[in-house]
Amino acid sequence: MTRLKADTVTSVIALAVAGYIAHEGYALDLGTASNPGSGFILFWTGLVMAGLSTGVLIGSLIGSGPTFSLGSVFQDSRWGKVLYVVALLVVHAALLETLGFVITTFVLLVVLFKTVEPQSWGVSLAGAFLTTAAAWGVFVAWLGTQLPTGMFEIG
Amino acid sequence: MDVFSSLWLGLGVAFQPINLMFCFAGVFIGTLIGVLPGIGPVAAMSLLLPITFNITPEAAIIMLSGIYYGSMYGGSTTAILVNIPGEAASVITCLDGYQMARQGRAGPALGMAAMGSFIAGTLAVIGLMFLAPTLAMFAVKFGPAEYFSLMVLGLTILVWLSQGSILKALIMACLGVVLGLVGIDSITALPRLTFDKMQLIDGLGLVPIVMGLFGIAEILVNIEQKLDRQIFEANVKGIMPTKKDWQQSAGPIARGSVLGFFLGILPGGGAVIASFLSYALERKLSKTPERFGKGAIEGVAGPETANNAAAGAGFIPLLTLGIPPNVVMALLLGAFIVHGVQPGPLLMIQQPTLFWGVVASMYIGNVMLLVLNMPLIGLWVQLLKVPYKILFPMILLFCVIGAYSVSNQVFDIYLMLGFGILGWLMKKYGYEPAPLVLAFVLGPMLENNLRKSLILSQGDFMFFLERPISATCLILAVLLLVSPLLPMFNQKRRELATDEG
Repeated sequence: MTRLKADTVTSVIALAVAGYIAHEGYALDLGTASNPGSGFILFWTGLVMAGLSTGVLIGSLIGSGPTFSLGSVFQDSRWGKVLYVVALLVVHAALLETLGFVITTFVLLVVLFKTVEPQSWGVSLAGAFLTTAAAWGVFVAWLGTQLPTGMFEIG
Repeated sequence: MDVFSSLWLGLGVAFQPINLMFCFAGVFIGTLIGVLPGIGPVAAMSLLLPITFNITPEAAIIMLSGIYYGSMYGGSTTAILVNIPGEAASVITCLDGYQMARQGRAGPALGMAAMGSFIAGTLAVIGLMFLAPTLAMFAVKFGPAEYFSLMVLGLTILVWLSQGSILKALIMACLGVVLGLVGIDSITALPRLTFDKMQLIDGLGLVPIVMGLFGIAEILVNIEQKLDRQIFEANVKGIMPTKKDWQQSAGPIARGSVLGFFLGILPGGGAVIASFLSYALERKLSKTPERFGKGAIEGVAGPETANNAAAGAGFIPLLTLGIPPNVVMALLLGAFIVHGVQPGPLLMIQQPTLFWGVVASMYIGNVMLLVLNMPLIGLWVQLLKVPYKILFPMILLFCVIGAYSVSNQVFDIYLMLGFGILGWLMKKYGYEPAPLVLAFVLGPMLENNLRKSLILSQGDFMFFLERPISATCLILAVLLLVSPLLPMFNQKRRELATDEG
């Protein structure tokens, strides 16, 4: 099976986005050259972007310049760790207002310290505690940043 | 009011205890993030932007400016001791700085970097002080066509200097313009690309986008690859350069200051390009170019001077024209707007205390940096020994706090994470974030000035070419975009190509 070239795929995605932008601009109201409407810039930027994406697409198809396959950038990479960290941050954000900044942050940090580049329990717990306390001290107590206290009203 | 009376007024503002404190905080944090690889001035400034909401505009801008020029100082420490640039403008310092460290001359390298940075930083502020009022008087005559064309030129230069494909950089710039237009249209009040989401009515936030593309993406890249840092273990002694060092460095410092200053003013230019060009210039002028790359002190003095001069000069287009020449200044423009201040030709008339207070604070900040850097180098060395696996959860946490605290919305954290993944993928597939961010900030201004110009000219596009400044900017932009088609220019572009982030 032929491996998909990275530029082919990314330019097709960019082309689709450009098409959507141009369509949205057209649907809004183009106005006239002497009185441009809300969609004027969107429409023309979308068209320009579509032209540029087509240029990248053609370049990738005729093979001008360096090309690499879509999946090659993930070889020898720890991309699973990346997705894992992002997933942890999504869960943290989802629970932030319910459980509050202090609890969610402490748990997030323990899990990050313990699982991404595994540390001992002592380092993980102490690191999480000190970082949470320092962040709360600086941002909430000193700078007056409003961070959620959650249902337990901690912090 | 003449320049010196204005400076006196500014010193009065800058010496207020609260402003002194924020100036110190700015340069200290700037040095810190300059020292630490993996977080640059853009991410640090966007992180701290929300916490400036509760302070005066003067204190906020003084602190954020301090972070920028402070990071230029700090970046050299990591480059010299660890051979990893703390931020992009110190990439070139690695070549000779690290070699000097290996030869037991880390002290003079660090000392010369700090002294050169101080001299250039101070000269840049003097240049800013004298050039800004003249430029502002000139800029008052600018109409929407000139502003539009100047912004187009700025974006084009940034795109031209991007690594890799110009087409991809232009795609990113287009995307940035579109993202900048999300929300209510200020003229017709029609919602654009809001997907019926209330959170998007006011548009996308600059902080979540910048933190995602520059902060989170950088951390994700680092998590993906195991970082193996070679820390320079020997004690750093004898920071003061010798008489011979000074003799060898005097020329590079003088030339670096001038070169950096003028490159810093140019839209799309910045500290990174200045440092690279300074290195190339010094190597070309040297009678012993073979020493470069093997521990020549000129290879540290020139680039470190140039990047600081450029950092100072970068404030000129922002403060006098209201146009940010690079991503850092785009963020600073965001800070001005958040505080209800519009930078531009009228800033020094309408807000003299703010304008001159910020300028004066840069003098003070440069002195603080010199005092901070020379004795605290030992502390920075210790800090470099903190493993990244301990640091990254803390940096992630600061990003989350920064994104949330802008408008106390969890939505902004999701937005930041989305742009973080996008930035991570963009790095992999050769799409650069800098044109996107600058275009995001300039997008609404571009649209506004284009629409005004077209209304004024009754739809005549020749209007842009009939006005000399506007025509010059547009012709330059077109020439830059066409130049990569010529092999000679394309080679030059690739040599200069840098990642401003």
